[in-house]
Amino acid sequence: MIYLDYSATTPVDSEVIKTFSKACESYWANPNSLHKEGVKANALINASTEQIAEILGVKPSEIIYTSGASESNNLAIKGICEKYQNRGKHIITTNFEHSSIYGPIGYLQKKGFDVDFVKTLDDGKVDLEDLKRLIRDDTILVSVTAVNSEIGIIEPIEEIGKLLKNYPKIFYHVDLTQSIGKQKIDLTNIDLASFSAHKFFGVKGVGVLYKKENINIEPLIHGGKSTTIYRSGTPATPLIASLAKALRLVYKDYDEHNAYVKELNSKVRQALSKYDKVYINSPDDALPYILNISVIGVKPEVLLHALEEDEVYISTQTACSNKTDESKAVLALTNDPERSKSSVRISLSYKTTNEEIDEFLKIFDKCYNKLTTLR
Amino acid sequence: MKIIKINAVWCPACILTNKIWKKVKEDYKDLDIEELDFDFDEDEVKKYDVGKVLPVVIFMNDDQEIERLVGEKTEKEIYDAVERNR
Repeated sequence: MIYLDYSATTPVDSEVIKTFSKACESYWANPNSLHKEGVKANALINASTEQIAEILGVKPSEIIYTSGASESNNLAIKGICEKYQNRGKHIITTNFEHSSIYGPIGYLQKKGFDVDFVKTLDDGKVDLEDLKRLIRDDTILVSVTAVNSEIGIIEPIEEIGKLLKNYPKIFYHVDLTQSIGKQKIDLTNIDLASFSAHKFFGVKGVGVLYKKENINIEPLIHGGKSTTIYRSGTPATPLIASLAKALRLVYKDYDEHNAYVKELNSKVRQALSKYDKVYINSPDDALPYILNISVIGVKPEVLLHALEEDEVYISTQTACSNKTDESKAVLALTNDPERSKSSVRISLSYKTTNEEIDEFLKIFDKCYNKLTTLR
Repeated sequence: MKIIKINAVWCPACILTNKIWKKVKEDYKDLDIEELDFDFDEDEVKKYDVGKVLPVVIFMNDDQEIERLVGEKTEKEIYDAVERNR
């Protein structure tokens, strides 16, 4: 199997499984219990939280555990909007977000919130001038993804944070789901940030919402203090400990990982560029872990299934736009309907080998010739 | 004339066009608009042969479909369609 769909999810690292199992076996008591076993489990959570906070450069009290990025995004957006709606009901977001951002925003729109989409420049980055133009007295939330999941566009997250510092009434949320472990982002000017563990070789079912200490949010799940008052439920010790382990591992050799994946990305880009009908949609400065391409005239599903026959796994886009199968993100970036109707995503990781890439390129060549000569 | 509007909360094109429809509703106060949710009004939505592209806006006259808007539309396209069919 050649797995090139790491942006969808990753296999769990064997070291992470060990941490998870150990916590299940030896730290299973309720961390809120007052007895010795509970205290032991609670100590493991506290140690994990301290490690996570240190890696992110934030305070342990600013970490809220959730079931994953979708919950974190919902908690951030609904939590802020419900708590601060007396200040205003205007939200600004982008065209490159995940559905777990659009979901709560669409829900809030039904409840009377006003939503604007900030324009992006030709390279897909947020137009800071347009963002300034959109800001109103009643704007309470700006939510931007650090890295778009389909194309890998890197948004100027820190610059947006600096700009928003001039507007103290606005809360700034960043979706770090595709960025975590692959970028180092300074969270100083960011109020809330979401991510989940399964994108960096962690276990599914756990995520984090970072929330600046002095900000209040309305919980989605009420029921009293867990690890924080913002998300109730018995703290999931094994999930939390395994998230901390996965985060430590992914940042351990961060520079080497990034340099290596950049090389893999260049190799694939170079090899695929020679095909007449292949367009590389991801900009040159996109996150190297994500490579979006279009094979003109070939439906994404057809290419996906052709590659699948040789056990190569890539992904297609989520369709929700003008015409069937069109990728809204690719259309917004390229303004080319043909490309947006035929785009697929190849996503890499530091565990992808050079041999896998060589084999993938051979199989791609075979599929390309078969599918493009059929027409 | 009746308008059936099919949206989903997670669809950015729906969020964008809802803003325009809010204005339409203010300008044409007599419009009969039925809002359906793609996920939660499944049985109703089924009747209209909706594909996977949203939003879908169907203009009906005496229970007969006379026009359909599919996907993201501009303010002008929406206003023109309302004007044509009312």
